[in-house]
Amino acid sequence: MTRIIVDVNAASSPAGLACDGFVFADPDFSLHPVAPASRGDIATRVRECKDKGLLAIVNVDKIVDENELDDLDESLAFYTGLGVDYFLYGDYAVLAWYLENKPPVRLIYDPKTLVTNYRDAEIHREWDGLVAVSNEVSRGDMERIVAPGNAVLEVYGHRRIFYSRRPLLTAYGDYSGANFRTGVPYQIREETRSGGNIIYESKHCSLIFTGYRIAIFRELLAFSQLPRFIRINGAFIPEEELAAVTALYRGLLNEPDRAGELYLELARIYPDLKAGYRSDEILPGGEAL
Amino acid sequence: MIELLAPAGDLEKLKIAILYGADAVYIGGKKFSLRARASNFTSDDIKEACRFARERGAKVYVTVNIVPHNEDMRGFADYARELAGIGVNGAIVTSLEYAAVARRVAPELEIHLSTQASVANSRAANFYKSRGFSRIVLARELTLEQIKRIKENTDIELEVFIHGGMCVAYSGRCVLSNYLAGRDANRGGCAHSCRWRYFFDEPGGGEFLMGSKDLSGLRAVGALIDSGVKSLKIEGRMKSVHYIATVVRAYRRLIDEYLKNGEIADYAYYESELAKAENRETGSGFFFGHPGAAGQLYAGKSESEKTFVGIVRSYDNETGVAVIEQRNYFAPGDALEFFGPRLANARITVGDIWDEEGRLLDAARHPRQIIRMKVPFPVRYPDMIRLVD
Repeated sequence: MTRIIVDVNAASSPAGLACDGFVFADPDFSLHPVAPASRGDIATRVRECKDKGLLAIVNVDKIVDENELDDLDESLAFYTGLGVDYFLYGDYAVLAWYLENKPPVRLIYDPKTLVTNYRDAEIHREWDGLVAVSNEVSRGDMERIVAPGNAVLEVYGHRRIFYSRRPLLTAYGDYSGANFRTGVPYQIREETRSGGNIIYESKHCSLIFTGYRIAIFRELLAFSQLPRFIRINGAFIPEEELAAVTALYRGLLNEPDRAGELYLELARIYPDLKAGYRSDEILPGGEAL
Repeated sequence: MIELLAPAGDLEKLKIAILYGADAVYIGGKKFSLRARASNFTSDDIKEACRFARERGAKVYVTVNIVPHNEDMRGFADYARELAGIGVNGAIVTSLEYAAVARRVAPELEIHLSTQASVANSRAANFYKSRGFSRIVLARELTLEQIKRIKENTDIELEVFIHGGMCVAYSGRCVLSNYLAGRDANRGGCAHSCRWRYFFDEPGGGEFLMGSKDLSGLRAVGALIDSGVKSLKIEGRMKSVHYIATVVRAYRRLIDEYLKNGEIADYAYYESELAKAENRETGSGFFFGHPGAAGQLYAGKSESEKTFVGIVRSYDNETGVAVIEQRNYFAPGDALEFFGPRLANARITVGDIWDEEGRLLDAARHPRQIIRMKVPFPVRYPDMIRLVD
């Protein structure tokens, strides 16, 4: 059965979303651009999830430096003690920790760009791990990667397409005299292109996201096997829209016959939806958004 | 012993790299390799590359470092077998599946993890070791201190980039090119979208640039050798033979000086040598601390390589006439500098020049044209010639 998970700001209440679990961003090891939340806040939200029978997933997806390993261990142990269900990670330091310690938690590998074929995805089944499928593959490739049953598919949101260790905004501010702040999304546009992107600098890094939201909606129904989880990424999305979007995906899973009608609702919430990379391959032929 | 690892986009560059002092070269085959636009090697080329390298005690590694899609699974096992059969020493891979296949069908191949995997800690390095990798090409976002600490906590071989172009993002974690140019960055199509010009998308929004300076790690070499790193890697399979020769020669000499004396007497000499290769502005990357604005390329432009004018093909000791293959314009009266694997930098002013048929020329105008000219000291293949001020 496919479950819906949603990335949210841990400082806000996860109540009211029609999902099966939440992804909480660790303040030190997650790249997810949310308002800072303490581990204490996350612990409270995790306990709420456990009480309600919801999955609690902690995002620790940054690339980990050597000098951060001890802190990483401490964080992972802390969350394991809380009974979280999954860690969502992007560095094999987390997997190595898992294989060494055999904790009662499972893993989702989410490097964003590197899970692009079914064979690499299948390797993660050795340790019962899940993988988050890259968006930069065709619908057919997605379906093949999903088929073995250990895949997570990010089906909605601004897609992260760039991850740099460098403080690109503040560095450019130092050069140009402009005042850029960390923790604030800015829109940039390449000089010859019409579409924009979101750039965001945190204490860890600089990230770039698609300026538009990507939605894989009706296409899901064409999959011979649905992903284990579908993930709605809440980055830069107002809470009320997130709730509405989540409800529509719930509706899609419960009442697939209403897919067309539900999709129209989805497009009303945010009209600039795109089907993703190589959308002509991702959408069934001739079907227009 | 530390390894100096050089790039080679074709057979000529490979030979130049080895003759100028590289201990190993990395090349791309026609399949499964990034740098799709590089003039990648056919199987026959790879065979010849391995023969040439083996005879000179050098190694050849082949990049199979794409982030493969489903369709890229087909044919990889056969390719790995073929590489091993040809005598390739190692394969540089990103995919765990490729590594597993290579280990199964070609166990004699060393498996190196590409920097596309962005390993930045010893625990991840040890995980890859447990999967059969013998070497990790570390992420470029590491300080010397971090590299040293990683080496203290792992016994797998470590390879570090010391010179050349830098991705501004973690390698492998950027797909800007996919979205802005429709070219798959992780399958050889990177359009270098990070070096383009952007604007903040608001009224009156200013310009935004984010390209990285190239890396020049001369001053880090001693510390890297001391830390136990196995291999120092030069980036640039797309670069010219002159670039390869200049950069390899500078690092070869610097490494040898450090190994012999335990210190470098004059970094400025090496820096001036490297400046003669075509380069964007360079910086020291992350070696001495995380770069801020100083690590970014905001105003510099890529310099074209008009100073490289030719390569020596042969020399007649009796007549003092050199046969030169022209690569850029030069003319009588120009000041030229010769350099080579065994030739210290030596300057002349160009006198008369002749073409292959002995006709006197007013200038060497045509690429690859064979030129004869007197040179007052012995030169040999593959000595090179550049214009000097």
